[in-house]
Amino acid sequence: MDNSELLICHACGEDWVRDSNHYDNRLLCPSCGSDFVQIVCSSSFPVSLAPPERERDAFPRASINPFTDHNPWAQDQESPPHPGSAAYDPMDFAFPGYSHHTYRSPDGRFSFSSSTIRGSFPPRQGAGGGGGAGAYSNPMIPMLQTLQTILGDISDAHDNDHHNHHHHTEQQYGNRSPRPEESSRRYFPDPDPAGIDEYAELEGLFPATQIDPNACRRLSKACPRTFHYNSGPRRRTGRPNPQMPMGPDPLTMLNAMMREMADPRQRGRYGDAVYSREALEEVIAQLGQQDAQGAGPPPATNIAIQSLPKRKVNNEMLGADGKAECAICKDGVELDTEVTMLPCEHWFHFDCIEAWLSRHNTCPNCRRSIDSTASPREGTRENPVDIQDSPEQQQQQQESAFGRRRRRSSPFSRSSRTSARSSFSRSSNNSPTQDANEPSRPRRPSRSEGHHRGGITGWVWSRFGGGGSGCA
Amino acid sequence: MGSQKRIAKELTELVESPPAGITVKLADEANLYEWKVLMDGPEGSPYHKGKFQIKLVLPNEYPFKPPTVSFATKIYHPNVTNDDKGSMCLGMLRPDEWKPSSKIGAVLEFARQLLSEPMPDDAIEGRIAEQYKNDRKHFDEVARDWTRKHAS
Repeated sequence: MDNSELLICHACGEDWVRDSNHYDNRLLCPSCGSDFVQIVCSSSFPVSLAPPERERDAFPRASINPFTDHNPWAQDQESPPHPGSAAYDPMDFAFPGYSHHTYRSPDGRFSFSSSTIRGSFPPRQGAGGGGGAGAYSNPMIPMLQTLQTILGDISDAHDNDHHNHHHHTEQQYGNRSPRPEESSRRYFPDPDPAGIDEYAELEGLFPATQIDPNACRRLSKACPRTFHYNSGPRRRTGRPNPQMPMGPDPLTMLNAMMREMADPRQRGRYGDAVYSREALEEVIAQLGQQDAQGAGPPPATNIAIQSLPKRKVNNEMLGADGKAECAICKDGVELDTEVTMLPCEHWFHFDCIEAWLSRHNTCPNCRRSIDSTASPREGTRENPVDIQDSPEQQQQQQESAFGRRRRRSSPFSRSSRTSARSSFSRSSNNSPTQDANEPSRPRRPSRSEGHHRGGITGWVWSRFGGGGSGCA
Repeated sequence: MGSQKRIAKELTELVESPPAGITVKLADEANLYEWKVLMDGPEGSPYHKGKFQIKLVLPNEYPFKPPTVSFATKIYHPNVTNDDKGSMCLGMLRPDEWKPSSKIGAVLEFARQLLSEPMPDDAIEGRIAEQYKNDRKHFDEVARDWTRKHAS
């Protein structure tokens, strides 16, 4: 069944493939009937290794020389043949993202096939990106896949170094549905978390260009601990479930990060970091645009505007001289007029303040944000970013001018605490409520916690370990 | 248009009780949004005895957006662009600094104050600012010279 031959007719130039198991003994050209035919490529042309339903697609691709239009760099379509040892099958691509490669040794003693499923359904889902064969929408993807291959191989190489890899590879396969034609199979991970993540290789049969086993070994020796986590669970359990453990192992994390990076939506951005010049320029352009838009605080939401309390103007609000005006329209306001009051207790005609708040969410008088839950913009004069000096001083800085803690600090950054202090005291007269929140207790830190857990440890503890004394 | 009422009100106030050294009128009686302001150079400044014409333009969205102030008369000043626009760079007029409670009168008074005390650190004309800081005598000379030439 797996003996096929490529034949060429020297009379008419026709070439065709026939199954050598079923041919009659005469070699005749099916086109012109001539017997001046030659077997160009015999049993090492393993067409029949393809899954049957894709066989027909494969035939038109078979030319006189199967390597005629071979491009070793077109990773998506073809993998290079293993020099001297294996024949090569430029296999079918029945649907985007799936490719199947088969290698056979010339003497037919062993065969090796590899299936690649790239996650690209739908294409915008990420790492697989482009979808169609050879059409990468993201230049990261080939690199990513190569890296993925290497990582997978490294972890396996590590297995080989320290354990009987053959044994549990067999065990794994034993637990799976049989794969008669494949001695090894590789999936590239699907970006969908529910997708397949599998690294299972039989050593020594990689295409030569994909991996240098020695390099792997060196690498894995250099960082055995890293890859130990990856290979560990598989080794211990030999679980039939082909999914990679999704625990916090470094490779999974790296993998997730790489996926994000390759995501076309991210375009080289990961969190607040950028990985490409394009992404950086995009960020810069965005910032520039924000500035050009005239800046100022963002508009308030309609809900926030509508939910502002309304008051009737009383004598107290009119002030000493018994006169008051709306600061926006500058019209005088009479007793018992209904006005809208902001959290800072400045009040305006509803129509007036609505018009302003739909542009900026701050008080026209004192610029305090009307959105008390959301913070005013940090890093402005009204709301300076409070950067703490050191772990020891953290306890001092628990309350901000707005009654919530600012925790944007690092134990490693040194900055002037005094300047942050002075700038926020400058603004403290803006709002009546600020004074209440201004810490009046002595600045001396209560060191109860810091005493036990000083230094970096204390900082880390209080930050991540929930050592929240006085945490708002 | 809601802004017209406030503008008219402010104009009336400024015409009836003008701030020192400032007179305002409409550039065109039919257009409330463009004002012609005549500003006397403040005493003690190199602009003294000069009369500076200022164009004040109010946006349709006033008071939700700031007015713009530009000197029609050429003036040698760190905070006024040395071009045919003569734009004055006032912090309170910047879009992110503007408050609708600010009145035109206050803007103009602030502008006049800026003639007395330029702010070289927020300058729009860096070269003039440098001169103002480092070579005050020369700066005064040129400013006075320009005042005589263009503002009288």
